[in-house]
Amino acid sequence: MSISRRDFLTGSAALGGALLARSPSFANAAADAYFSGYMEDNGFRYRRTNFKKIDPVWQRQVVKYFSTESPGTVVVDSTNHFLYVVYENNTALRYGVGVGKEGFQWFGRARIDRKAIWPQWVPPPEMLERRPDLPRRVEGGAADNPLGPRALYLYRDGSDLGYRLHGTLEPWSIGRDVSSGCVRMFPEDVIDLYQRCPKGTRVLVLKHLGEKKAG
Amino acid sequence: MAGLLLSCLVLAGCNSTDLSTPDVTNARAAGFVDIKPGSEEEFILNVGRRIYFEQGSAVVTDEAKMTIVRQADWLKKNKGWLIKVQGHADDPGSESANKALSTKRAEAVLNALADQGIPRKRMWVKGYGIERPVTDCDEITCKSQNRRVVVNLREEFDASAPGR
Repeated sequence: MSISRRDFLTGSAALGGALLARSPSFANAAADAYFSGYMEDNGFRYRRTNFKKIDPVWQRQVVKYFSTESPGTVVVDSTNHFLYVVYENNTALRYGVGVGKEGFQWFGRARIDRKAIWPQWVPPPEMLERRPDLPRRVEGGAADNPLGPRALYLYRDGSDLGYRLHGTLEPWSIGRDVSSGCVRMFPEDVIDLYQRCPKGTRVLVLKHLGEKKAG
Repeated sequence: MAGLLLSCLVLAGCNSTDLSTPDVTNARAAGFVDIKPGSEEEFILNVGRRIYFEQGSAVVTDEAKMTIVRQADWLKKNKGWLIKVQGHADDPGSESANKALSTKRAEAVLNALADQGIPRKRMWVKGYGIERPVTDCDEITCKSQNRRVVVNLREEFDASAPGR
């Protein structure tokens, strides 16, 4: 799961604190530099990413991709912080992502069986145990909802794995190990991905490309 | 062979070798190194060509419409492109039923694009039925990919365009 209330409160250091947006501070200005206005979407709005502040390597691009995965498959390379949508002709659409910290990672094969626009966020019990300060529920579209504008839910054999692809309020966290296990993307990118993955899309989460394929 | 042919159709340009980037994973794909505004590559990267459908249906869902709106916005800014709306199916029923369904899907997308303000004279449809699957298996993982319409940018009308 993604949230980082801990990030909010203490760290992704100064930047996380800035998201509290309570006190005008240096940190606040540093965080603000990662945003560029707002974008309306399905009745809510998100802060647009200022891509001038983002390393081009994390920006969406079409790359060569050599593998035996069938076209349409989503592949996550957790170590290198990339998510691929496999296309024909040995190519893929690649996005930069943030992934779970050590100990909160998940690997394996799954399927996108559910998708949501402006999903509500409910911290799972194990997260509440670690972080009793968290709210029990954050409504979809709320400014502090860590999932952002979209979520794609990973299932295996009909069961929700509790693992999902979603947006982020912290664009500086893309390309890093940050969340509690989910895959976070720029809001612009998760909106884009949502349109490209019909329900039933196959997903493979790897430690890194080239490893032995997860079962 | 069909796969090869298909893959050539998917991305702009069928040049299988592009010496500008090495043939390794993560190197930029051919044509995507220096993307020009208004190019087919920009459309593929920033908008996306595919629209998906539910089983047995040619109804444009709310989700599909979100893609179509994005496509129409781009096509309105880039008026030089003609649009071949290509329908596909991988649904229960005979081959001919799938062919008919794929054509209906393409027509539904063409109508939706027209509703968004794209002139009909820029567009035409072709239904391919089950001829060109993205991927082939009996599970939903494959079928969901194949039940689609591809908005294909063209510089000229082809033989499938009516009255030309």
